[in-house]
Amino acid sequence: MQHGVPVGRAAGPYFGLLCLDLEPEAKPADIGGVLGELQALGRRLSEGRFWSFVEVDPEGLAVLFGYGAALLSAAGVGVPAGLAAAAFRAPDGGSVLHGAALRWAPQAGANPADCAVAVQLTAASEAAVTRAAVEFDRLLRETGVLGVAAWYPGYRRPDRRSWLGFHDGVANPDPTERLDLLEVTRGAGPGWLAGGTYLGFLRIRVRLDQWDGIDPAKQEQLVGRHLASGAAMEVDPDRPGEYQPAALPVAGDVFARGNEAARDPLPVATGEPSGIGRSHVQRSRRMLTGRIVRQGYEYLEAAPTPPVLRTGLNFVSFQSAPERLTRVLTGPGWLGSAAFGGQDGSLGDLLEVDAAGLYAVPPLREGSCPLPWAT
Amino acid sequence: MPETGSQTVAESWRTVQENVLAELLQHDFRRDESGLRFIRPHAADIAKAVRVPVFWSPVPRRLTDCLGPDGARTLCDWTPRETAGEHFGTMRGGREYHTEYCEYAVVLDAAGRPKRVEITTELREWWLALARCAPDLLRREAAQVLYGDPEDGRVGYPDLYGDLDPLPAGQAERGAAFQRQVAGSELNRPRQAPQGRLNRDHALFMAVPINGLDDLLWILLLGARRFARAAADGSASDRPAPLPWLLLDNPYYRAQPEAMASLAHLYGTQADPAVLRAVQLLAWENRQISADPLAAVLSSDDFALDRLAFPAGAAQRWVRWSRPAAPGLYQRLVIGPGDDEPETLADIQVLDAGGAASPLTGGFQLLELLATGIVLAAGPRGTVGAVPEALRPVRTSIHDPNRNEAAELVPALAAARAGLGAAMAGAAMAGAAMAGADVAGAVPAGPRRMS
Repeated sequence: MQHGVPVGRAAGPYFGLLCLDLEPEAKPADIGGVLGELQALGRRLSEGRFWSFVEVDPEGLAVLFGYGAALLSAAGVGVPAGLAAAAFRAPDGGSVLHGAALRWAPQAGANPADCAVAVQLTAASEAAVTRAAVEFDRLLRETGVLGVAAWYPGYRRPDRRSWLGFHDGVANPDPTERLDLLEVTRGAGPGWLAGGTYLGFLRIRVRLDQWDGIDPAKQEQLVGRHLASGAAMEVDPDRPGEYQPAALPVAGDVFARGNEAARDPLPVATGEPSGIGRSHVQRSRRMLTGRIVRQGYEYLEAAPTPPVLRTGLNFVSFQSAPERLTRVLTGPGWLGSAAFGGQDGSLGDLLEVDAAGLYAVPPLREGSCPLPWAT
Repeated sequence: MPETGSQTVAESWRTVQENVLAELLQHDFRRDESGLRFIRPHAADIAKAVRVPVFWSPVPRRLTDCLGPDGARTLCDWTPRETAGEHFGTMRGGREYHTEYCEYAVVLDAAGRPKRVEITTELREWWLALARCAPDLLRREAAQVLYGDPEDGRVGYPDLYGDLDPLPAGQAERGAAFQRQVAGSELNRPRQAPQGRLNRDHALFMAVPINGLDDLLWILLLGARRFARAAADGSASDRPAPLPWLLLDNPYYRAQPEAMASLAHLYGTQADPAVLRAVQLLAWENRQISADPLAAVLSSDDFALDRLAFPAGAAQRWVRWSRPAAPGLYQRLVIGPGDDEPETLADIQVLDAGGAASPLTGGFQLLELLATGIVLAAGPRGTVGAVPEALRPVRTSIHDPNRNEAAELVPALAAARAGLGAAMAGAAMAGAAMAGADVAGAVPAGPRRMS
């Protein structure tokens, strides 16, 4: 696995996704050389070697390369079947995938994340991420062939809550112990991708103007977690049709040591009368084994016109097959019938997608051919 | 399983469940009844129970891991010609690979074109119980399921019992005849596939041995202990063990290294890890657990119907749920036009996530849109009072659990792609035969779900 896939080590809290497009005059024969230079630069930056005479603390910088359908087609490799079938629709204000309730932002006119190469940068500081991004841009201005099409920065909040105010990333499986959730097996895809993974990315604007007016108790029902403790909501056995926060074994919130078992809530039926079966927590993980490894990085950006402050989430997921992600986004009991949570069709304006991409992330080894499909 | 209105059948079914459970405890768990502290045979015995749906994708994971989605589809949809001679008795093409408690058959029209897909999650043991004690009820039930009319003449005793006249025969004789003709054997070794057409041309109920009642009960029992991570001093910590550890250091099999080694193989399915995880989490909280109903089911709420495009007005006629098990849960789904309609399966389009359409050609595309599973009834926390047990596996994860499967699946796929009959495919899979396994026996020897 490439560094940057969260196996064995946690990704740094600061994030950036650099989307690279092929230049119109790029020739297939030139692709390998540029990918090699990018990979070499990524290794140098991860070691803190910026130029021949400058060494810095890399602050845990991890550089990950994902290859989109555009690059694989241009290189004559062939797009893995799963990747082709899961391609996001072009922005038109409608669903991002057929059957998904999640919609494109009305103003999204293009999708820069549908790119040839995605470079994920994670590190311990914003400076470590951004200086690496600038170095990639410097390199590409020299080499050509690929150019920067978009930059999507973000970070994890230290309080481990999202803009909605609730605990986030609580029930993520540990990929060190569940490697199969994200690793492409030898027979499941092309040989060059074996031992690699798929990266999914969505830049989702979170419209707090649609959220803040909702009663907190209703918010808890929509999310499926207790606002204060983060405990998952469960059906109350003494009062059928009602729900309650699950008891946490130890004091503190759901992230406190000793509360591990309470992080993975039990499934609740979609049609359960309390409505908790349609909460976000339940809709996003309908199957205990159909999981993805999700990373979330918040962002705050300024718009030129009011409302000036725009909040959002960089949704990043790793999975062994693209179908895992598309099932979450399109399954009718999942997020296919509600973009976030609640009754079918509810909260349709809470989330808007500005960009989305899906990339193959092959294992890359130092000294090997920069084109993994050529070895 | 539906209510039949027959007290005899209900009693017989209950007896079957009790016998299977007793046999599992006696042999597979070597009289260790630890799991029975949590697993209750009857859901009605659990007070204040809440329902916990445990669903998984019915797409066979072993196939997708080893062959990719296209290869898995080809193999699952493969229907070898009935010119297979002796091999017809042991192999039925792609259905042998429907190993996630959900099987299907593609019904052909008179011209040999795919007409409908019949999908079932019904347990063979229930039908076997019916066959043993109520031949007339069996005939009516089969006719109702397959043709919508209990008096349909296309289902007769010869279809169900072969040469045996079931009415004067004893229960054991009836059971043996029905197994030979319709149900097939319980185990892979020796494997006896159904010899009659009823459960080959149709999917009347599940007939692949790995989808049995014994397998379902076994996996429930296997996960029903308070499995904890070991603390530094080797004692049980206050944290539940990771899911893979249940298959790497399960106390039931510590004294059987060979069986323990083969447990990891279960991690390579959709169904087993899902059930194990749910039971583990419930047992960790000291809850009582029961399957309610004791059956595999399909969830209509989770069927991605909007991924299918039908001719105008046809959707309501061509999507037929039946055999209800609970609200929103069924054991049978049939998709496709009726015999009185000129269309075929290909008149239905399947839309991928990007919206691209392609014709529906078999059952695999439908598996991708479905969820199958079981529903557990779980009692309140703290009811049981068991203490945590430390697991200390030598390794902490299971890497590519299906990596050894390709050697047997790849030749089978080649045979399917070549459109070969079962006899040719049997030759192609000589390696599997040499290893002492038949086709479904592409699974190594070991405990249940692998037998």
